[in-house]
Amino acid sequence: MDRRSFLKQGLTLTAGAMVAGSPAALLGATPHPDLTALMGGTPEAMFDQGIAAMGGMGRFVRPNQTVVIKPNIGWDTPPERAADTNPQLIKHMVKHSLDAGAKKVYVFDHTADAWKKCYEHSGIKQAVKDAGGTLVPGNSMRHYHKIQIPGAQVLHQTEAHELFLESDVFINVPVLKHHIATKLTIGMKNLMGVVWDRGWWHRNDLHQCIADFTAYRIPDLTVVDAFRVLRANGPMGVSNADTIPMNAQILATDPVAADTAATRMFGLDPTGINYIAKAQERGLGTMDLARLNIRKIKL
Amino acid sequence: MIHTRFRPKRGKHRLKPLRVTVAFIAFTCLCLVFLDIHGALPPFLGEAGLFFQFIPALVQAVGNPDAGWGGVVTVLVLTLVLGRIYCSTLCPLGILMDLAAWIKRRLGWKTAHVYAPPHPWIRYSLLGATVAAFAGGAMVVVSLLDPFSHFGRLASTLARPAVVAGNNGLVRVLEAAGRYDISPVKAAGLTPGLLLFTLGVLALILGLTFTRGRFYCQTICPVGTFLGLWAKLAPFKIRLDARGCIHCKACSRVCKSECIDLASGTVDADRCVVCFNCLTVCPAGAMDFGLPLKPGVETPAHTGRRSFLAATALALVPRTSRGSQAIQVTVPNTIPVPKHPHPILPPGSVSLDRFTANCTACHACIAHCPAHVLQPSMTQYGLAGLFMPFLDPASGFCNLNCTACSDVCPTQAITPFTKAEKKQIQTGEVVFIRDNCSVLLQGTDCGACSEHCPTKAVTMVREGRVRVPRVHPEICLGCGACEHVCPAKPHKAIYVRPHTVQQRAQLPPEVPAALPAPGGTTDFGF
Repeated sequence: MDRRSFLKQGLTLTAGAMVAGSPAALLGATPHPDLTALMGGTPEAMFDQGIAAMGGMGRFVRPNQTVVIKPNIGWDTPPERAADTNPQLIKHMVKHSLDAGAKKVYVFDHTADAWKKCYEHSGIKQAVKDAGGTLVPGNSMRHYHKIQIPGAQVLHQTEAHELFLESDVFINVPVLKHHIATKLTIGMKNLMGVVWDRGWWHRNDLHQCIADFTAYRIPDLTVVDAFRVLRANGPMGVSNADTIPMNAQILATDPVAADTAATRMFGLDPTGINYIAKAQERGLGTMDLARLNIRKIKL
Repeated sequence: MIHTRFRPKRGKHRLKPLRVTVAFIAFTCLCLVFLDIHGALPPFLGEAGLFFQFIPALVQAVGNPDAGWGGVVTVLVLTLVLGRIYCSTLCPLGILMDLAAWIKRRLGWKTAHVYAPPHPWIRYSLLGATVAAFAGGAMVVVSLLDPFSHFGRLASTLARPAVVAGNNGLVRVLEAAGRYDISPVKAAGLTPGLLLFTLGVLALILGLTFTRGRFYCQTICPVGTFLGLWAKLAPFKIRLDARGCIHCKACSRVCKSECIDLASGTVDADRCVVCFNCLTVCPAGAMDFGLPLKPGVETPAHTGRRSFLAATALALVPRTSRGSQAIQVTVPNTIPVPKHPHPILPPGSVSLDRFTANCTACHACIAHCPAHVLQPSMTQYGLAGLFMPFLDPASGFCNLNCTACSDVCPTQAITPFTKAEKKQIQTGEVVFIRDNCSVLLQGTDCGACSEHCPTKAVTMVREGRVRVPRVHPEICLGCGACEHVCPAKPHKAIYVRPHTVQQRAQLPPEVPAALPAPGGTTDFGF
């Protein structure tokens, strides 16, 4: 399905660009930045400006499409612990998607802690409800279907959530945080929340599995929430003392670039995060930010 | 047959509907304890029902002076005034029997009861055994006789899975229509041995109910026998006015306690559960409930010959292993996790001895555990802890912020604790089996154990190109998260060694305020 949807999406984007009639689009050079980074605002305000810079929500969500917004809701912690994606951001993105004409906006995560508690205590349950989206349980095994990943080095097959497989638009909304096993978890690692058996990844070269899986379906957009950032004891954290406000956000279509930029923002060297390097090796994007059209916005 | 409409004298015709109403409310509350799978209803409803449960209240009061004797005293005062009305309106097992008998009658199968003499030897032997077992800390005996614990196991083992299955069926139907309004619920806590035992108990109870009414309550139940002693003293009693009696036997036919002796014209208050059935059927208005009109009539002593049903054989079928997924492992490990002498106790159980001396295995905690980490034991604790719950990392892990088991436990076998206190209750301590760890066997990063550890009693330390787990047992709570998620196969590389006496964990070290990013909140860093 992914080749077909990839082609379909390519066609829609091309068609969209032609309709837009921008000379730059016709020449093949995108008028939009590859990556937009923002600082100094609320999650909502940063998203408003960020998505506008990226070409507006309509660039990603077409009328009558189904959308999956995938936050990190892995832990039974309140928003101030910054272990889960900011609920205000999710609420705002669901609204934007619906305003862009989405038929249905689904939100889910295969949580690590008890799922109902995670959904509730992260504030995301209420946020999705308020915005008119559909919160879907991520912990029912029968929603996960076997997929083959062509060209994988380690993860040749796995089971992925049907909404991830079927939705027209897939938007990854990780929270930037420290991670005790992989140093940092950002966008590509957040995709572990759409697969069933993470244990297999953990015992069979976690970094390579992350890179292998990312190739299966590159998110249409990655929005890195760095409003409040867990700097230690990640991915769950022990107390609020582990977090600091960074009031930042990164939007990108290239998942490798999104993770690279977020790593730099965190203050680490992206080449030291194995899965980012492996994803670049697989040609899923670039770590060379200098080659990209980057827009930085301070609010 | 006399089917004319009649009224019991002095407006007592409302007593039976009143009894049924109170019983219905109490039964609903107690069912909620086990069947409210979404935790949607306010907990005070269940707590109200639990307050009156005699054995749990007694166990709690004896074990915990702070808990108070409110529940016990209430039931005793009630019995001292009104007789064994507890058995008809507050005991969920008794109400369940009445419900079953009512359904049976509606289906057209009617049983005519006849007076049966009591079995004092059996009754007082079982009461004596219960008291001795309670005093000696052999709670397993109590748990096999206590009506509430039987009800709890029936509700959590038989009814709850049915409710869960119904819920999950509905979830499938809705999801097929693209709706996710109802959450699926994990079916957990069922073992073949427990299922078999509970089905046996159900068959026994239904069989007795359908043929002998409240035989269990009259002959086996230690609570019934004990309350019977107090009921004899109650001023309010069901009485038969010999002057008005026309000897139609209508009362004795509907007397599920089989305690109306028409030959002597007496009602055995010791065994009467004050259901008011006789009041409603007596065409002569000769049955009455109230204060004595004349000096109390003593019940003549009887000796019985009826056979006593043998105790159900316990099916001690060992727990079957969970279906393991056939997953390819690059390098299988070799060291089995040592067998523990007993499983991990639920948090707040204090010690193995205290726990098995206070738990009646009612399974309310198992029904409430949102993480499904509390599971019913079969052989894990040995016979002394039969069916009692244990913390099973194979099923899940204990949530740091959750106090559900402690909130619902009616006996305080799981002592009350706050969220803050829970953060230091150590049920066991973490042990790392280095040679089983996939990080070292495969040479690739994993870190699942440390990731899930709520206190960071497992950290990752760099060794060459990979990070290897290091354990800090002094801050471990024994929640089982590391053991649950450890992906190593076929043996776990990290596990919780259960404590026989629970310890107080140290608080995780105060981390210095998290280091800000070098760029702070002004520089993007790239």
